[in-house]
Amino acid sequence: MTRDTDAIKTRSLTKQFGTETAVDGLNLTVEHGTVYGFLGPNGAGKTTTMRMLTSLTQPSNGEAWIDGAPVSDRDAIRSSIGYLPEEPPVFDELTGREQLEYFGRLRDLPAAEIESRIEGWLERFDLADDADKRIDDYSKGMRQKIGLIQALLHEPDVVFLDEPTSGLDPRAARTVLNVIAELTDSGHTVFLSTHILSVVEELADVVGVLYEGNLVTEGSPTELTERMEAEEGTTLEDVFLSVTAERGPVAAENTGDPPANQGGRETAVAEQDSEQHTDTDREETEPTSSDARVEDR
Amino acid sequence: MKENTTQLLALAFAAVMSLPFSVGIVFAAYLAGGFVAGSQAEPVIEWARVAFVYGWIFVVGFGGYRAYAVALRPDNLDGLLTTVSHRDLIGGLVLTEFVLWSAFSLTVGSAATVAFAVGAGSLLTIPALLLTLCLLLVTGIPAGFIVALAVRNAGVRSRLLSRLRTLFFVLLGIGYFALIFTNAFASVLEPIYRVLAPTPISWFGDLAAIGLGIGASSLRAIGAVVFSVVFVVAAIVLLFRFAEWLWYADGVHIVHEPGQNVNRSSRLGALSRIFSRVFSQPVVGVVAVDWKRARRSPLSLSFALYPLIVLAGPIVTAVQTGEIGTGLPLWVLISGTWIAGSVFALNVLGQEGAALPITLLSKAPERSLVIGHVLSGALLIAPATVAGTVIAGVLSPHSVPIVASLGVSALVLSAVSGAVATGIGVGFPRFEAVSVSRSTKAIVPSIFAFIIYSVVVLIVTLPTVVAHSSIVSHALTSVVSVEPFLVGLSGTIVSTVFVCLVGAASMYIARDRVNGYRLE
Repeated sequence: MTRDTDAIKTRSLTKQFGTETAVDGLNLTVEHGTVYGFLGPNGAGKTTTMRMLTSLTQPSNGEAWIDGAPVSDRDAIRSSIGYLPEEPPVFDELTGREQLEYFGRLRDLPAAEIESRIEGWLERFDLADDADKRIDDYSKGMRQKIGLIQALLHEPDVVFLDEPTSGLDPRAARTVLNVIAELTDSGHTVFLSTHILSVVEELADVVGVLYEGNLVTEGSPTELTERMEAEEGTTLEDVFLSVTAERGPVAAENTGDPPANQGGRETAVAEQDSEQHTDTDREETEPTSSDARVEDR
Repeated sequence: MKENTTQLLALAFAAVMSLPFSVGIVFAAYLAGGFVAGSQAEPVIEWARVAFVYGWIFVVGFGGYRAYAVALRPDNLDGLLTTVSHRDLIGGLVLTEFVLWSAFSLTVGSAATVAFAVGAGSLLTIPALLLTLCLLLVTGIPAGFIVALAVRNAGVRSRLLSRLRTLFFVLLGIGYFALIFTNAFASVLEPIYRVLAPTPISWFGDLAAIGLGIGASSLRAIGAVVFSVVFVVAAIVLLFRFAEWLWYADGVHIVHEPGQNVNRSSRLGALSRIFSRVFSQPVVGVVAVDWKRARRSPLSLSFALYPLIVLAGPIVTAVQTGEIGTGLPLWVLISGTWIAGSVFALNVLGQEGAALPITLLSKAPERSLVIGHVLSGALLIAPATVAGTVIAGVLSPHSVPIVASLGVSALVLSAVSGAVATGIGVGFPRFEAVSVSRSTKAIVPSIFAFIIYSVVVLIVTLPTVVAHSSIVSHALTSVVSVEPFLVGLSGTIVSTVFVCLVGAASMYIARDRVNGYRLE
């Protein structure tokens, strides 16, 4: 499939919360039908980036496009993106099936289509037997599966997954990885944020490492390990640890990798002491679960 | 707490607000001291005994409530229990409560004691009263904890109680308000008093009155101290045992059976199919989910209780007098209108909770969310409001045309009040879950949004209420010779125009806000 626009493109994408810079002049391009592995330590700005790319957070500066449509125009991109947030987007009072029907209806999918797609995904994720149980009886992994299904239900072109294997057992995690591989095989694009480096190593066509809001290195997993110029057996984990070490820019230079995001990195990261690291992902601003049943003890 | 400025400010505010109350208590104590000094002995010592028995009931009751609701639910219970023993933990919790109570009881209590002693002219009363207050707390607070622990233990072990917990609390709430509105508290407290009066609890009165020369028994006073010591020792043993049973209980686990809701869900499904013919699928989806969530977590609709409380008064009056006055249909109309907007439409953004990011990315969420939440309340509450208003109107002295006018008002106001709520709700969204009961947290609208909404509802219903009230109607009829029906109808028209304008503006604001909402 050939398209004249990139699946995801950003230009100097920046987000500031007051005086804190969460994402600093991010430039990246993701081609259609690829998996982009988005790595970074806690608080690096990954979630903020994903929220900007999905139009949920307004960039302070810069621009971004999904399949050529600007993210500032939510109407233009909403049908072409799917998003799995870090916290599964579920209502505890509903059953898994009802939750998925709700999202299907909100997407205005035909009723018959909703039903057949839900059945298919529930079978795929081994949730069919539990689909009519209330979500407050679900485990963390089951919630995650429901969250993942909702992101894929409307068959979006570009899927943003924030820690998709979080809380999943090995079998379910393998299913997720297989689904991601199938998605890209059929021309979909996956923007994958995770801490599990083996997942990225296995799936990602391109890996970007975000550190203190700056893209400090980018390339295929093989390229990145080669740039380390280290002894044989260097892994993506070694690369990650190196570029996100206390002095990010210096570490990045050690990889022989030119800064992927030059302006931001030079102006911001070099001046920042690692001790000034702050949690700029703003996870705490995400709405909490709708109706949390408290343990009755 | 030291670093929590808001909490400190709240405490300071509470202290300032309680100052007049405290001064009142101290002054009343001074007057009581003077009264006691000049009274005959026998009845006064009886009053002292009665007062301290009721005081003990209050401490146990309120302490038990606080223990059940707050103290026995410490944050990070598992962490605490893996750090300290259950004995240390329950001891710490009881001591914390004791300190909390003492902060008020012993400061204001000390001042009141001194004032009472000065009024009575007996300095010996100061240590006697202070000791009695201390013993009251030392015995009453653990007793409250024991009751709360017993209730919690029963709840944790009984499948039936666990299942019916919501129903139980609803009944308890209704009973509580029924007691308030019927002034029947005494009928509940009286039997408890009768049980406690012959026990050493009443000896606290003798201990407090030592030195007043009003016939207090020294033996009983000493007995009160001995009793307290014995009671505390026994309470410690019971507290340890009950806490252990509760916190290490292998309690019942209620799983919501898949078949439990099938019939109801299929009924909802049928309703959804009917509504699908009229409304868009996203809107029907929102309505269906609103109703399902509300049915399964009714405590999230807690704001509807306020209008119901308001309505309870006129209904109780009607039941007590056996007559339905012209005011009852108006109360039904106001309450129904008030509820219809507050149940689903007052927190359009916030009640999406963790699903909000996905909802915002759906097709036209500004339409589906706003219209959907308005319809959820209107379809559910408007028919009941109209029916209630018309039935009460027919049974009241109102004429049929007036009742018809009221019915139209009820229909329009309760159908549109949700629209009024949407714009106010998006201005003050609340995302975080708050405790709506002892065991359940839910996202409810912000209290600020509810207050503003309540004021607006009052304003838009005012023309209808005024025009249909018998006083205004008669006044206008006698002054300008207008038919009462025409007066009522004009009120209905003004309210209709008013609520439609406000509702349209509010919905416009809500749609705009939802459409442009960003997670910042």
